[in-house]
Amino acid sequence: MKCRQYNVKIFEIGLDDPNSFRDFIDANLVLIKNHLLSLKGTLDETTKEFLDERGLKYVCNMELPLPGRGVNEFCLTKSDESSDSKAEESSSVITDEEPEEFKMDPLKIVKGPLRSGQYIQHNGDVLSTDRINSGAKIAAMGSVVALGKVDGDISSAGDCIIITPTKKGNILFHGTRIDGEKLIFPLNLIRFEGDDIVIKPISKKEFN
Amino acid sequence: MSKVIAVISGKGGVGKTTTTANIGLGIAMQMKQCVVVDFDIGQRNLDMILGLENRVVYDMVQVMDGEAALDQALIRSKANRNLHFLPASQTKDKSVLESAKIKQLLDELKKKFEYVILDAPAGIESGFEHTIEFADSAIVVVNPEVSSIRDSDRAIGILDSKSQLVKDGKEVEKKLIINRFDPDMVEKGEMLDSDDILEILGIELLGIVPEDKGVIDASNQGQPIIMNEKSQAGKAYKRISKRICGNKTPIVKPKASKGGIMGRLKGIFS
Ligand SMILES: Nc1ncnc2c1ncn2[C@@H]1O[C@H](COP(=O)(O)OP(=O)(O)OP(=O)(O)O)[C@@H](O)[C@H]1O
Ligand SMILES: [Mg+2]
Repeated sequence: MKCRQYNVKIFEIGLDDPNSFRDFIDANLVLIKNHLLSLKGTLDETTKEFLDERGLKYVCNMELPLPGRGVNEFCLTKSDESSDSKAEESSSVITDEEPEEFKMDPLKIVKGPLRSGQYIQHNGDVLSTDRINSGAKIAAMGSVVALGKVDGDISSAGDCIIITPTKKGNILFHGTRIDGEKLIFPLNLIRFEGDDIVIKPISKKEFN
Repeated sequence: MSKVIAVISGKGGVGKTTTTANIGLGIAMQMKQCVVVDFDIGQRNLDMILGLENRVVYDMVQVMDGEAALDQALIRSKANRNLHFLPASQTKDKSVLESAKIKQLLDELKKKFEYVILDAPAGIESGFEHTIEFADSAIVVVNPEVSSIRDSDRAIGILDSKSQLVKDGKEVEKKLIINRFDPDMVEKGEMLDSDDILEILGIELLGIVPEDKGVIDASNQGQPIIMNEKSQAGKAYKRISKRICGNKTPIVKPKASKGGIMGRLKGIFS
């Protein structure tokens, strides 16, 4: 018997309001398209079709072996159905190596203002050194650091967002909208602490 | 070396055509050979503002299609002999424009004129893209309001990705004109200040043109406001034209009328 270990990203989401569910999925499609959706609630035909049209993979009401927040990945062991010749190459049965598709791309640096209509979609971390203007957007699988003024949209599914104060920008961290009123520091660090999203000032310590 | 300057804005109705007419005339007043070209195919306006509508015989599209010679289509301004005008076609639509033909036309114009000013259509569609395609430089016209600023930001982004110069690894020069600026409204906090606009757009300021009721009348008369020595908008366009021609004329920011009627009168006569 040959097996392989995969690290799969799970996105858990409730089905109680089908309309806002669909809106949410479409708004965050870039970020969640590589995740396995773990749906909670009743899955109707329309929603099924909706998910299939977008090629999203999902399980419904499944008890997942999630060891709690902070570990947002878990391992799914599946049998390898590949032919014999291929099986020979992968002699090691279980590998810890991350599969290619989950590897992040190198840091993307955005110099100069990001202008209205410009859209950076990146499978990795993004550093923006200038303004992000109204109508511009950054969507990153990794963290986003925005050092200039942000009037545009940022969404990150990474470890953190580091951002200057903004009231106009639409900031999403792992799909959760960040209230601009709470970005009160010259540089704000947004990240998970346990289950909660917390906003803290960036201190010198963070850079060390 | 002659220069092709596209006058763009993204949003419509902010003053591209007014600006084109006035700086065209302003550059001509600086004793430079200048041509203004109406790229707003299907919505010809520049001829009226220049007071030349009754002189239009051939248009730019006919020249590009070889139906008329360039010299037949060019119209010389009565107001200033250094200024020529090439009209847009009013009957065709923008889909008639083709890159190769535009390049050929602009090359021909560059041989005759030092400054070739292109009046872009509103929006960011094909007509706009064709206007910026072979420009050496762009003048971005904005009104001090958020929608105009966002639309011009978008237009700058497209300029920076689609112009031929950028594709060749060079940069297109971009300068900003803030038009219809009303210092009283700024003072009352009802209008964005020029510094805020400059910070958002991040390009060099070429000049600030105040809101001026005389502009509409001047356009209706076919006598661009720059011909009116007393008008503040006219003076602003004159300074802008000098800057385009390389003079280091300082930027003058329109001042708010300080308190009451006397202050306002002072403002008018200063
Ligand atoms: N500084 C000014 N003060 C007052 N009115 C102005 C000023 N500048 C332009 N206008 C008026 O604004 C209107 C629109 O100007 P204009 O036609 O030049 O805009 P445009 O950007 O060329 O429009 P379009 O996008 O439709 O081509 C005109 O009625 C014009 O007279
Ligand atoms: Mg116009």
